[in-house]
Amino acid sequence: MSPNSRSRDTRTGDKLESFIEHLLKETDYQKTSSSAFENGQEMLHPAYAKQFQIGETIYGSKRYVDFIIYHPERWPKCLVLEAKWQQTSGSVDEKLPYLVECIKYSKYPTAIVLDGKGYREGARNWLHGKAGKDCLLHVFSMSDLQTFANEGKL
Amino acid sequence: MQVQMPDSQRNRDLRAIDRSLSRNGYAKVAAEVFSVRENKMKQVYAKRFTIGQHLYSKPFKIDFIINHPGFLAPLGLIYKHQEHDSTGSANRKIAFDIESIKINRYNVCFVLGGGLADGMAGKYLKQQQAQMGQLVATVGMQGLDEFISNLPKHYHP
Repeated sequence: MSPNSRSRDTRTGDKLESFIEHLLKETDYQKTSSSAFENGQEMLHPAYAKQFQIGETIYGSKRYVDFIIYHPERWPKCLVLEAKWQQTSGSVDEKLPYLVECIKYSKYPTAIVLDGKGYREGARNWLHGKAGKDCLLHVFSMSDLQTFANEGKL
Repeated sequence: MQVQMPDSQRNRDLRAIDRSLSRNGYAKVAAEVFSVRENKMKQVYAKRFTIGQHLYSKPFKIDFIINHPGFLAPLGLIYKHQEHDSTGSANRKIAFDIESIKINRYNVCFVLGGGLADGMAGKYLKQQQAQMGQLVATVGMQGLDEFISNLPKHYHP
């Protein structure tokens, strides 16, 4: 991958994270620091933290998730949101089973937001087949997540 | 003018596996003829062999496939590499290989190059090995020659 394409992919990946963050703010979630989130401060209201460390990966290293959200009624035990964007075709989607294994290992309810035209159809199908099993509750596209939020489920 | 690409560690290690197999009496055959009947009673190997479909329903090619007259089933080798000081994520694709192996009937051995053998991925693979009969062994490049020279001893399908 050339440095240019890498920076483009990172940028577009950041846009997916911005989209999720915007949606969370629209849904009245308040951003909080990881340490405040961990200590349960400000947890009377819906809150979220970014790049939050939850336990370990299947390899035993620290695992950071893109978002963790708390909602007193909807997500009292929190929900992890993982943003996965792939702009161009390649083998990056071969990392999805690793993510699913880490989710299974962490035991946190999780939703993956997967978008971008680079994912192979087989990869999408495989991942959608994993939704609803173990701790992976949902696999959303950006529009699916928007619908989920519009329905008052986020 | 022809531009010479730098030789990667991956290519050097794949050639070392090639040499080790040849040195230990395995003859290279084309992947297309590996499974023909006359090769089943010979010490042969092939490169880039398709063992079926991977998790995403495309051909799953492994780096080497080996046969020995004493084997009841051939053994595949999958090479994985990551630089010692790399922050790359090659090790995150191992779970994809593991899941793809599970949906095929072949037995395989992972050969780990660079920092992978001593790293967390190596430990993870060893744990998987204990739970998964198809995963025969995980060896580093340094232990590869010993493994191949004693293959019939190490491998009992």
